[in-house]
Amino acid sequence: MERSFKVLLILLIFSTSAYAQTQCGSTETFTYSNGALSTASAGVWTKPSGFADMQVNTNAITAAGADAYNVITTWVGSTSNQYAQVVVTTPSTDGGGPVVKGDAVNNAYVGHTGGSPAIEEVYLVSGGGFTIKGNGGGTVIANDVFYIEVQSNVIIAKRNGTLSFSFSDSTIATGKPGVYGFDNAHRLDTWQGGDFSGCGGASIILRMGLMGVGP
Amino acid sequence: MKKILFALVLLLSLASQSEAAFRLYIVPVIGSGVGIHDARRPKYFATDANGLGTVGIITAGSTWSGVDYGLDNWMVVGANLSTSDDNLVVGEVDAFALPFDLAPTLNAQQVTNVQNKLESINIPAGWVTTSETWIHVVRITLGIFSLNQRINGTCHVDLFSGGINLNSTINTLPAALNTCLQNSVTSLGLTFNGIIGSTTIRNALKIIADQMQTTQYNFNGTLI
Repeated sequence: MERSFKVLLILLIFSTSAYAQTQCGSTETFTYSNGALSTASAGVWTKPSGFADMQVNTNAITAAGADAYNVITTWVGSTSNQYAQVVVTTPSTDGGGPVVKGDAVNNAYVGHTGGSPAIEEVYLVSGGGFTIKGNGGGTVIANDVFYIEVQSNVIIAKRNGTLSFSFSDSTIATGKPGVYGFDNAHRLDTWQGGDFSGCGGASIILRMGLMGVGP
Repeated sequence: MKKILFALVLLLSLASQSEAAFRLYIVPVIGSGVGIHDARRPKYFATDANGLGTVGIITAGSTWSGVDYGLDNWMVVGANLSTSDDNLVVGEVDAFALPFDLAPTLNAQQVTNVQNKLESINIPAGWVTTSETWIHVVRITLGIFSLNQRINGTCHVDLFSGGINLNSTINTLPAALNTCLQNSVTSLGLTFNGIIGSTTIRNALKIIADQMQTTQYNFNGTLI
């Protein structure tokens, strides 16, 4: 009985170490078994229809050569004013980034690293169709933090806390934060999402100074 | 001291030659939108269909951002290009470059040019006169862009699909599109007041955009 309790406790610790959500924000370190993110995370992440799943690979995420994105299934923060950021541990010419205002009917603003050398880009996804909305911010290198926020109809992209570019867009009214990827050469880790309700969604991990570029 | 001053003047002179100021461009949108590798994208700023949206006729990696006209294939792009890149875009026959300074009013020739351009891309423009400032013309235009964006986000359709044009009336819209239009207006926090069945799309768009005439639009931190 005592042994069962210990096993249960260990399982509980493992399950909460991957994803933690508070009223102010969420952090995710992708410490799941390898495989499709929506399955590996036991539903913490949802894959919109018409898109591929992000893939967990050794406690980081990548994609498999197709447009892939996932959003947080249970999001308690603002659906119109929010941010998401992710550490680009391995950039590529066709890699991924954070998502804001993602929903189940294939709407989202998705971050992408593109080009050689790669720079930050943001695409509008509406009904599954892609439109590039802006790019810039200099070359993305390993362990850069790619950040996107949306406040009402203004979208701001940053790299390591510095403005890359911004634009206005009224296409999507509401949605949830998430993560996007395309090729399997890039790897993303330490995702964070939050809103602007007052506590900024800063996670314990980020407060410890590992990345520290919250809003 | 003189040498320092000379160097400063030289530096400023060189900078002004290589760097144009921020301006807006109206350019066609190309690409099918099917997948990120053929995303809809602003011609001349992101020409190649390879997913690497930075590649156009301008210098690779240049920073720009744009406001698209929903699923209608036009985009207003804001960028602070080099003089040579600015010249490249301005030289394209289907690109329309706005003045660097949007504060003045339009002159008669500019009114004609703007009306012709806007009407050709499904933007009503009969209201543009020499008493309008450029900034007001741009904000009304971007308001209309915003409405068609929300129609895209809400229903994934273009207002001008199925033969609808500026002279169509509200009561000739397919029921689903009519509902979508009204829902989109409400969703933006606007009203349909003053718009009835016999109102043309031309007049309806202006009535709706007038409600957004003080809204500012963000292009890389530059507020229009």
